[in-house]
Amino acid sequence: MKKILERAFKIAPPETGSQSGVVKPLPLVRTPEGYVAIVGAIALIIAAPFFAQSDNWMGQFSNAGLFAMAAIGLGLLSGYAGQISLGHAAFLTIGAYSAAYFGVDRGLAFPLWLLLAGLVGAAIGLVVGLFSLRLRGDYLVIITLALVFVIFHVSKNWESVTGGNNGVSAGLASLNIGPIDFKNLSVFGRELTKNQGIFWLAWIMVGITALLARNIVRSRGGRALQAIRDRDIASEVIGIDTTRNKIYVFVLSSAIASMAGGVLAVQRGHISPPLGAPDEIFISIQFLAIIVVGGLGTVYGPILGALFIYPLKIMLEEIIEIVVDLLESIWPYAADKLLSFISNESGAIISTSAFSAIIYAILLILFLIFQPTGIAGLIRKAQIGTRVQIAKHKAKA
Amino acid sequence: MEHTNGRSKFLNRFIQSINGDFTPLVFQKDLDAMANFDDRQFDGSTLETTDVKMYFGGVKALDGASIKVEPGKLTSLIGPNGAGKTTLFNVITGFLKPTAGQVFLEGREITREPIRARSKMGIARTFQKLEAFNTLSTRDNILVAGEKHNTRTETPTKLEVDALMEDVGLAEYSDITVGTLPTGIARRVELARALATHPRILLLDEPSSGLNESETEEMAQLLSKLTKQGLSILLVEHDMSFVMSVSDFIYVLDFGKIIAQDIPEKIQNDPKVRAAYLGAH
Ligand SMILES: Nc1ncnc2c1ncn2[C@@H]1O[C@H](COP(=O)(O)OP(=O)(O)OP(=O)(O)O)[C@@H](O)[C@H]1O
Ligand SMILES: [Mg+2]
Repeated sequence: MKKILERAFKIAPPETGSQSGVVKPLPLVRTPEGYVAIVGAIALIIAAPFFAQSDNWMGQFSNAGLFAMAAIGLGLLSGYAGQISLGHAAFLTIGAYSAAYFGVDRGLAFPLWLLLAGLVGAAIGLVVGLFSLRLRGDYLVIITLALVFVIFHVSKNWESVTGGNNGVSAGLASLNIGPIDFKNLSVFGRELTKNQGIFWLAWIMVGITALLARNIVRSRGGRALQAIRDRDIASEVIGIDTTRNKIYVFVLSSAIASMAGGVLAVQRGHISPPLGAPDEIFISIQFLAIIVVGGLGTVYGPILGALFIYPLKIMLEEIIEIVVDLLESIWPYAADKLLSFISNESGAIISTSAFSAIIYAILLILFLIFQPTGIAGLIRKAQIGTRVQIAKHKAKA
Repeated sequence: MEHTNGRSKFLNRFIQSINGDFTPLVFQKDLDAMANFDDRQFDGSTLETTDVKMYFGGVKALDGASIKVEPGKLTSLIGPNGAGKTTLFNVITGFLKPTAGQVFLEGREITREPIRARSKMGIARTFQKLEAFNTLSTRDNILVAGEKHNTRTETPTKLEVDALMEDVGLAEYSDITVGTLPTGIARRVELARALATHPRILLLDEPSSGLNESETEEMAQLLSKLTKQGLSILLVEHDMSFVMSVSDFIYVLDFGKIIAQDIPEKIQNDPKVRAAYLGAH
């Protein structure tokens, strides 16, 4: 039995860094299934706009893609370096206003405003990182929480840039790369909608971010991050600059989130300050749920997590609607009560977004307790299981 | 590693990265040069502490400890539980800033240097309570220590890491996640990790705990070999026969003070040392 297990592991060694026989880091994709999954995903992404029935869902899956992109960044920070941020959503907001300012007000080209959005996110990330990551302990949690409130107040009050309470439009920012306009694509003479174009753009960005992240985690810097996550004191002893590495990865994750937020803003068109700072915290919790449910310490986990968690909110809203409709016909009083409890109307006890945040928080806790390795862990277990079966089969033959 | 077909260096790197070969070219060393770990030489250095005091409130964990580790020698620090041995390690490696006294490496004062700076100067240590990188494989524990972002060392080659694992008896565990290994083996991972940093002085805090008799014997042989290769070692250890067999010189610490210092044969028969050990029990 031990032999069989060893063979299983030989084929798929644990996700660490280097493999036996080579000091060079892990290959980009480790298993044949991995290649199949990637090719399948690419095919699906290319085909989706041609088959999707509803433009609304195209929009939702563009959003999910941009959330996945931001989540990959958070995954580097939390899953690999072990640092927790409660303010990831704040960086999406920063990116959104940057898109409106650089892309619409200044009318800069897409690659340029995207880069600037990333730089603004990185700069604010650097300031936050310098304040919190130089100290040992979980100061990042507190300072990122504070950042959420700061960004909320800035977005309400810095009217010349954010439009104050009225918000500002980012929808006019360009999404052209050279002659390709993602808002206005036509393929084989077929006109695509804005959402369909942005869907592709979003998932191209996910691909680039994943490639970048994968290269980081299997290189020297990535191993250093994992060492810091495991033992930060021992990391210092072997000469790793833990502070600098933590700040680097925080700045990177901030820049990635900010760029994702920029494109998200263009897709949604109008940006206004969140209903309140709590909304940003809810979204930040949603990001934590995404990376935990997807699988910490993997690059593809956050993508799976985003695909699982993001649509959940819309499904929840739809389920609530269905339940209310149903109740209305049989028990109007209860329907009324339910609506006064959960709805987006003012006066409701909790908003739908708060309600979904509660669901995310519950999911987060359940996964942390029962499936800490997330969906990625389940996939890995299945992979190893299959390998053991195959090895057994071969041993018999 | 020539760049072929006029492809740019960048493009080449990109293609390599897709193929899973992302080792930066500049860090690749001549593999043959490092092939044999047995030939390795350490540039062992002198370490000295002078009258180090470390008070925690009213607790005088160290109360004037002066020791000297000579290059290429194995010096031991023994003493009953709570004598202050680990505290002295923490002062030497920079975890604690002493209340008074100095630490010198190669004659240079390092008392206030941060941990990482001392690592760069060549101080390496293991911990009494295991501090291995539990989610990484044995190989990666060693690799990350060798390749780090340290000016003095470069990325170790495959052969260097392999030779190190072979030497410390870890070859068969190379791909296993360290968190799942038994304590005795994880201790060796820590030792190999410390060696991968190319140290000039190695501080070992109870390396034999969790090892069985034959493993302890192997550990003793390994330490002797390392000192022959020039490494300075400061050893804290409870296993007396182990200490007596490997040490060149021994300091005895009790209640934060050095109560005896001599070669092993003399220490063994020193009545003060016996009294300290008996008193502690
Ligand atoms: N950070 C600290 N704060 C307060 N007291 C401490 C601290 N570190 C050590 N001490 C105290 O200092 C004394 C010496 O502890 P130390 O760990 O150095 O002993 P030791 O010789 O390593 O013992 P052992 O053989 O049990 O490992 C003990 O009384 C301990 O309680
Ligand atoms: Mg101790």
